[in-house]
Amino acid sequence: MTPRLILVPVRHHSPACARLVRALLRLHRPAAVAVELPADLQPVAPLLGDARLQPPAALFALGDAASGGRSAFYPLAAFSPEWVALQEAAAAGVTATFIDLAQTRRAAMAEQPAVDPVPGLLPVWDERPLATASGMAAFTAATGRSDFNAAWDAAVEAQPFAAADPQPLLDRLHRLAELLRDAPPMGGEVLTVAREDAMAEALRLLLARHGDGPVLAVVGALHAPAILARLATAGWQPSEPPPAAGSVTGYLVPWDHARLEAASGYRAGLVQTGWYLRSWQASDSERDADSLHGEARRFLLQVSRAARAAKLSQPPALPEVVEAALAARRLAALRGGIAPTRSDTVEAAALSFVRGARDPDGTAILALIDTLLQGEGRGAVPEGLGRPPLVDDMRRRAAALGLDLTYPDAQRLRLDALKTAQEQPLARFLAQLDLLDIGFAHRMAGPDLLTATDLTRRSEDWIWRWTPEVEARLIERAMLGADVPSAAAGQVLVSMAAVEPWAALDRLSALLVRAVLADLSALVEPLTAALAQAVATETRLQPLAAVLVRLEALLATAEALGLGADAAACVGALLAPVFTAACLALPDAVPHDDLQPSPGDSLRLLRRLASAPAELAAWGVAPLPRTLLVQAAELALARQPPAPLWLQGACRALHFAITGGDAVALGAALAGPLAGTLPPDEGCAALEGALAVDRTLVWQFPQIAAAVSRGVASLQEDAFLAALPHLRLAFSALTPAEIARLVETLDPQPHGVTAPLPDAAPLEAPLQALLRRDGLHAPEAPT
Amino acid sequence: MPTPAVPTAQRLPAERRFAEELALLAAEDSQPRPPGWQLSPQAVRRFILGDGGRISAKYVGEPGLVERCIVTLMGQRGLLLVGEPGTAKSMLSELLAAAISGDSTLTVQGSSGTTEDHVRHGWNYALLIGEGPGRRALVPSPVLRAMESGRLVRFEEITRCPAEVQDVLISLMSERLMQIAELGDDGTVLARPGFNIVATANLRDRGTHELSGALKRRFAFETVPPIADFAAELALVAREVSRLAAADAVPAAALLDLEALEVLVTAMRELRSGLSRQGAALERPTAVLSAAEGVAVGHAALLDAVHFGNGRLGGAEVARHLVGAVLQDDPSNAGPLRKYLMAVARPRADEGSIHWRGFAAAAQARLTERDAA
Repeated sequence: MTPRLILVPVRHHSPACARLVRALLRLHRPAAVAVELPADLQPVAPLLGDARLQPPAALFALGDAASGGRSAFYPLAAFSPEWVALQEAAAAGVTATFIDLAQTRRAAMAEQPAVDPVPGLLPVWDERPLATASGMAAFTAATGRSDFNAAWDAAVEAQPFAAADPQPLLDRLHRLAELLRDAPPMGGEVLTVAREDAMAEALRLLLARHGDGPVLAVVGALHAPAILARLATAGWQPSEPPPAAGSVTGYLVPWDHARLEAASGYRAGLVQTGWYLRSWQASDSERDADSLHGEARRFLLQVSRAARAAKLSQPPALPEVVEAALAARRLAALRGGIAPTRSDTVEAAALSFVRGARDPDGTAILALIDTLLQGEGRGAVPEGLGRPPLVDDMRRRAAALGLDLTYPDAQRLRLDALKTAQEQPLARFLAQLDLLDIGFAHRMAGPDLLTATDLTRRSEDWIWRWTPEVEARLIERAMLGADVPSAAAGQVLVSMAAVEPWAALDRLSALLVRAVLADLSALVEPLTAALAQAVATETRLQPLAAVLVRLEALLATAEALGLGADAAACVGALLAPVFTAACLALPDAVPHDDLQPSPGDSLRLLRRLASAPAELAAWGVAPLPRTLLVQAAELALARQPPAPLWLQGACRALHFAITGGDAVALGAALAGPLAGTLPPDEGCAALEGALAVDRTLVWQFPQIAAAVSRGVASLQEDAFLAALPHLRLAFSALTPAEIARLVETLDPQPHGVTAPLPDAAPLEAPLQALLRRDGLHAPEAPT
Repeated sequence: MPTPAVPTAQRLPAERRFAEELALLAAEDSQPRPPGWQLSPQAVRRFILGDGGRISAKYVGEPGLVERCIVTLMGQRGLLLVGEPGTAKSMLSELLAAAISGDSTLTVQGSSGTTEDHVRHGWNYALLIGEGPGRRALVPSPVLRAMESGRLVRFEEITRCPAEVQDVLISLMSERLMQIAELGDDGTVLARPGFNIVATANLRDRGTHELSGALKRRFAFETVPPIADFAAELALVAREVSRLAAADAVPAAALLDLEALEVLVTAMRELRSGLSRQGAALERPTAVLSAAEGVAVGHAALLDAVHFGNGRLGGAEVARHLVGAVLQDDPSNAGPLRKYLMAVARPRADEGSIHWRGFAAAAQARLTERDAA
């Protein structure tokens, strides 16, 4: 007689459990089917039953801000019992019911620890207690297997199964689930109780609704005994469920088998997923001892073929395959099994195929076996099936631009920096995705407008990879817009609103650059307006100079980027206020080494901008006030207390470079601190500051070079040695050619000994005689 | 004072030491036995790993390894146990031979002096000259005897044999027959069911001869690791030292102090692994510090305590014998040991452990003596 409730305790990715669920569904034709998925994701249930969906796929639950913004994955493989239940139920015209506690109610569970190291990126199912619960540990020990997975394989997966008689396996699963009664609750006691209450209550309602039933429920083995106990208790009432907060939407995301591996961090993951995939593909309904033995044989043959294909020097020959198959069978028999399990087969393969303990071929075979047992392949979610419009738009655009998202591996892409008409849309698309921060593409090399580096490079290199996580992050951005450009623009506006005041200039100018790269020209005006506002309150030179760097880079590449005239005018108009603010900040500039641009770079940039009216005119920008920069330098030199020596040297050099002046006085000012009693770092600071602004000073103006040379020559030996590292640092700004010119400036004599030294004269004649005797003399110069 | 009974042999082979267990297993064994085997594979496994009851556990380690060894010996390939010295490879091969063939004494001991005759056969030259070549004049090797009787033959330290001697095994293992040309038509000896070879080889030995590719293909390799579990190693050392002590007729008063043995096993494991219990990284000596070495040191320390000490094993006796085991003939091993005493043993002594105090002081004294010498 069919019971009213058929509760199937399962592992979430067990082919044996999936076969059992299929057999039970076909045998009992239940009136209702229930699965352990959050009740508020019920709207997705019909989509998960869609036959066009290709597993593995994950149900992705995305909570809104009110629900705490929590997201969660529930991956389903073809051999997941839940998948089979959903698909079989849909085929039978029954919509499966999601009975687990609603996702929106879980946010309120204060006890639930934040277990995810990367929240939202790891699937939520957790089967670790299967291996650690004391009852299961005893079960593992009793089977004589080395670990829980091997014991499970022997007791469940490598057992014959007849679809017409599923009861023995169901009974076995219930007995195993009983061993989990003392398992520690995952995610906290309160959450576990609330979930089990919710599932029991949902099943009670289903049973009430469907009279004689039967109702078939697929739940994790961890929860089955607790649910059954509640339903068996007369008058049991569930506790008050936690309050719901916000709402959650379910989407479907393609998943891949590699992510079902326990090694990927998934806590309900499998070891060597490929074995289970093979097992399911070999038979999804019936299994007898012969087919189980066949699985091991097929795998061993496949190893042999793969070894040949990989051109290993000694691939396993047929006799060795036979021997391995025999060994697998014998190991299984010795361990009390009916047929070889995954571990029996792998051990037998290692035993028979590996020749020698440290044999290179043996190591290669083991690696090959491991590769063959890694799950390969990914699922597919058809367009419009549980996917938000943004994902479909992204896929359409990618396809139109030649990016094939079916590649599982990372792909490289090279774009010409002066982008062709074909490449420009692709570059903009990548920039838009970059703004969305979904981890799809990363620029590895090329001109960087954010730091104004490598601007002369001819090409830029990208690496992109389409993964389920990327798609999930894209779904998370779905509320920003229906297509990629509008979502990217929405992201810019969100980011603008979230800018912290202390980093406003950096964040806003970076957003401006990225918006221009992404062809979001409508955003240029609000961004430049926000920047102008932030500039007005900034008094530090470095952040202002950083903005100038980006503005200059944008203006210099505006044409190549296709920046419209209006947008370019907005950017150009920002140059003057930022320049002015930077000049005002100059007298109080603080030398530092760890921020970019450095003070030297900043001052050189100000000097360059003030001295290039033609370039500015080409960008449609009015000349910047040079006098303001000169006044700023004078202010810095006149300030009390005096500016640091580095800034003094830099400002003197800046003043001298713009206005000209007395080179002797500048030389004296730079050499003075050197010869004094200051610590060596301070003594060299003025020279270092000057050379940071204008390194040509020391070789273009002999007076300055001579003064510095005298200052250095006046140092005692100890002081010179102490100052040497700082001098080297100061002169490191010079190129080798400039250093050569400096040497010539200081010592116009040609170098090298060309005449015999007077003191060596007495030695010269005997030396020449010796050289002649040994045949080593130089040929006589022609007279 | 009564004189203790003198045992008939210093060490009995496994099939005699565990004769009662083997008889019990044979009586209870209802599983099918492979041809030539004295017990079923399941009973062999039970004999080696024990059953927690009447059958004692003789090998401490991964059950899967023992199972793979048994399965290998059911097939056509020989079994080669490799691993560091002292990891019970020889013991495992002895137990396998005792359980499977009821005889672990058919053994070829590999050395640089091993010749082809040791693997094939020799001649009784008096009979050879007197009667000409014939079965009477033939002196069969353990291998030939094993083939003729369908038993396992053990080949210890196979990589210490010259390559040409090793290679004698190639045809013998593939064809499963031995040709004795001198015997004419009767000279073909076919291996009976049950025959196979269990060989052992050390990974750390210097001057060994690498197996040829052809011979490697005829062996399944199984690496025997050191004992991973501390408690299991301690139990093993304690059991073996007790057994040796009983054989030496050590008075019952000199009961083993487990705490002193714990110091021994802890120190050996820490020096072997280069990691202290507290997780500190340690410099490792080159000496082999296996469980077997632990038994030897523990046994020597116990005899030291009984005959020259207060009759009870302590940390000081352990240290005196451990220092020799660590130093061996390599003076550079003194460095790691000194550092171990300083960084690990002394702090434990300072925490109040009597045995660690004795251990640290005696080890230091022994090192100082050695320096003076």
